[in-house]
Amino acid sequence: MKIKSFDECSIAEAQKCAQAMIVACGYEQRSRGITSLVEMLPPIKTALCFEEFSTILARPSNESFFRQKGFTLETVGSNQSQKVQSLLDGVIRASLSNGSALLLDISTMTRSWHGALVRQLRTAEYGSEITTFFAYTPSVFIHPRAGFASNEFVAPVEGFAALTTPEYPVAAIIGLGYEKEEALGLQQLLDPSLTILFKPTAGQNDRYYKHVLANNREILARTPEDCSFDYRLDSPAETLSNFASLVNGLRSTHRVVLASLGPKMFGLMSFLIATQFPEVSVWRVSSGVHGQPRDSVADLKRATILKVVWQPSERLAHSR
Amino acid sequence: MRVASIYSAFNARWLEPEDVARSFVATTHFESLLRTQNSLLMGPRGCGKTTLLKMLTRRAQKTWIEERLTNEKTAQDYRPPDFEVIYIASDIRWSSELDSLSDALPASPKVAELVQRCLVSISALIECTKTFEEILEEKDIDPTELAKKFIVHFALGPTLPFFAEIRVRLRDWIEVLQGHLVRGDQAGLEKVLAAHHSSLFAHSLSAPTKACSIFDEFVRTAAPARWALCFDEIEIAPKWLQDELFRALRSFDQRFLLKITWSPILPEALTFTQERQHDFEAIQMWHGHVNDARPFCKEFATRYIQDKFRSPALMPREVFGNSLFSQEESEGSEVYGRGSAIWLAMQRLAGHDESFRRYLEDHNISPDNPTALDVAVRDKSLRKAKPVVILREAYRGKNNGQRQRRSRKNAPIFFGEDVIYAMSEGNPRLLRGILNDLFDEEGKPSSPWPIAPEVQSRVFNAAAERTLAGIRAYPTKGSPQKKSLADIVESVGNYLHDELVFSEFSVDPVGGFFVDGDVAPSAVQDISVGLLIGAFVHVKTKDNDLPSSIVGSRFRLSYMLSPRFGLPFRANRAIRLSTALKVQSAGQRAINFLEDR
Repeated sequence: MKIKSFDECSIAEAQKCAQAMIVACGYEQRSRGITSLVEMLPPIKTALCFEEFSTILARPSNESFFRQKGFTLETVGSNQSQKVQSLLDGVIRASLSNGSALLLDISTMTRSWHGALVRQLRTAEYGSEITTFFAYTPSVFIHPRAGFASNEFVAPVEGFAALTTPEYPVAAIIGLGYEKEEALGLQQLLDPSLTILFKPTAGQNDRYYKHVLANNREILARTPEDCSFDYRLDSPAETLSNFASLVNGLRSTHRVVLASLGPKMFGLMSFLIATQFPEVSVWRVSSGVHGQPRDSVADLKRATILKVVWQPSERLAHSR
Repeated sequence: MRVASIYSAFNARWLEPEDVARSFVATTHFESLLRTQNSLLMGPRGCGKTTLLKMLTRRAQKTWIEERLTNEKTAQDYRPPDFEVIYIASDIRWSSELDSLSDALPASPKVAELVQRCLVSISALIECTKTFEEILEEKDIDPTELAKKFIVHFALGPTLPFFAEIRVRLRDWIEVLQGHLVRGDQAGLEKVLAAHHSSLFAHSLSAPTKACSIFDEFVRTAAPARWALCFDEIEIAPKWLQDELFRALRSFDQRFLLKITWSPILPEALTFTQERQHDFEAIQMWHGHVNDARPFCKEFATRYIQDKFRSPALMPREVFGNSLFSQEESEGSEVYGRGSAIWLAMQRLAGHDESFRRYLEDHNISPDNPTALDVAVRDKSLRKAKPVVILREAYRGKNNGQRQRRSRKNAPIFFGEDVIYAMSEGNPRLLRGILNDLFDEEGKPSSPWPIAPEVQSRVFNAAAERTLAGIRAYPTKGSPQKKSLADIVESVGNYLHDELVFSEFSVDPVGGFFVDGDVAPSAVQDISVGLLIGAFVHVKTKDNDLPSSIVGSRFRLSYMLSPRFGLPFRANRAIRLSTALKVQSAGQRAINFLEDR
């Protein structure tokens, strides 16, 4: 399928339309955030429960919460993208008869799962339009980790490796997070000829933004001002539009790599953009098994929803 | 903002060959590469391998000869390559994407390899067409006939007979493959592969050599005596490609030469010395000792600043000043004279470092007035001690031997011309980066020179931190308890610093390590990555010492990290790595160590 349109919308609109809902159930209280805002849950509800860290922090209470709300709990490894694709396919098919609209809480999903959701929507054909409401809520501010966690993955996300020959230079578009020097490390590793940075902001008194600036001081100082942009976390459609324009402008002269180190919504947008521009590669940087679990609470006042409508694509003839 | 200079571009990969030639500083490595024989260019990332390969290309050679070899004598002495070069690029994005095919097709590794082979062949063919176009254009030959033959012999299907059209066609094939991969349509993928010409899946050299043979056959008047296929970044390529190219280095069609880049450790397949001498030349592009790279660095820095400031007489020493670590034979007595910086440092250190005080007294030098009129004594006792004194005085607490780390934020010690050269490791990309950063930080040309030590120190510290950030970014596979490459680098750095600063004073402290049999295999693997990305540097123990395995070889930390860990620019004695790691893990300093010198 291909993207027909995208826009922002309210929880109320998503709730009114959605026939199915998929959430992640992990060790953060934040997993419950979006669900707690929905008064009338849709009939089909699936919680993807992380195989890893299944007994720590808020995980047991999250499982109880989702069970109580009538969710079907499915255990999935944090990198099992094929299983996520298959579950999404099942959910879409089950809800097709009522005009498929899905509410997907991406707040605590891994980037691998984000990639799987978008890849399923991109590659499958369901014969009719599908509306997806990608819901995201940031966490109430917690300080970045002290020290550095090793990375387990620094590589293209499955299904989002572009395979373009190395004729053109690499442009890295990095969504900054607030972990110290993470973006700088990625830049050193990728060695792009051009680096463009996106900084998330939520307006005045945004503590996260201040830490983004402080912990990326070196890479920001080395990046020209016209290659460094702020984006509003509460305006995902506007950000997606700007982001797509930028990528479209670069792709004729560069091999573009998209990598999100910050808020999950920016990561999701990277995958959405790659559906439009297949020569763009989406990478993930993840500490995986080296990460230390931390609890976080959803900041419900800052929940946002990106509504994306998918339409059937004309399948290209790939035979020679 | 980045400075505008042809010397300031970071990575030769993204430079046009003409610009590579304009900023090129010739080295003995280049002379070796020009020889009509197979070459294995060995060295860490950024050491100039890509620059050298690009310098062999037709376009770079033209600029080099016409613009740079302007002196009649140098032009006469220069022998251009007697082979035509096809440069086949690669980079970390391309390698990672090729790698990702194995993850995309976990149940069908053979199909994944076939797709990789197809992609590598297409990439090589695209580069062949570009070179062919350049040759034909220069010789004013119509390319249409050759393009037609190319289309027929690679079964490209309906394609207009232009090389640009051929490239579009080849790129379309990649898109089709990607489409099937994204959909997970393996049957469709295999069908497409089956329809492609067999040379795309045969040996990795089949497609480019076939392309060159077509050229030789149908454009005889322009056919070169030999073709040289230059494969960049083979050190991060798929294993099958590495294996095939190494085998080809030993035995291959005489009409073709291979020039291949590789990491600083000789590939296992090529460890037989006798064969190495006959089949290919291994060109080592790293410098175990600080002075080895100095001539190149000095020439590059001189060109850089003279080009940047349009000042043909400006010299690096004037712009950057002397380094405290400089140990040149020509240093005059004033460097060590009463009241000089080093005299003050020695006097201060002797006041709170008992072992240094004893060292001076043992050499009949007064701790209160550490000077020596006799040149031999000065050289033997003071000049050798200088770097250690500077670092001990800078980092050691005043509480006589207490391990008390001191910040160097206020009193810079890392600055000056020699520090720039040492930190760069003779690596053009690092040297460019440091010079760019220095002038970015400085803003506009200083007057008077030199750039203030505080500014230099800030830039060098940031460069060291950036290097460490790059090392930290490298992924570590394995259990959560496994040490990462960054852990090993930090353990070694902290260990060496503690030995240097807090152990008994020695003019020859521990400065490196050799990898012994007690080091875990996973750590050996990390060190191999560390060598490739330049975290570690191999130190030769004898001339022509080509490391063929990590275990048993001697290494040191990159001098780029010296400001981060407070280390000198000398490859001193080496310790067993397992000992250093154990000591750091236990949080205690080693007393006993094995020497390797």
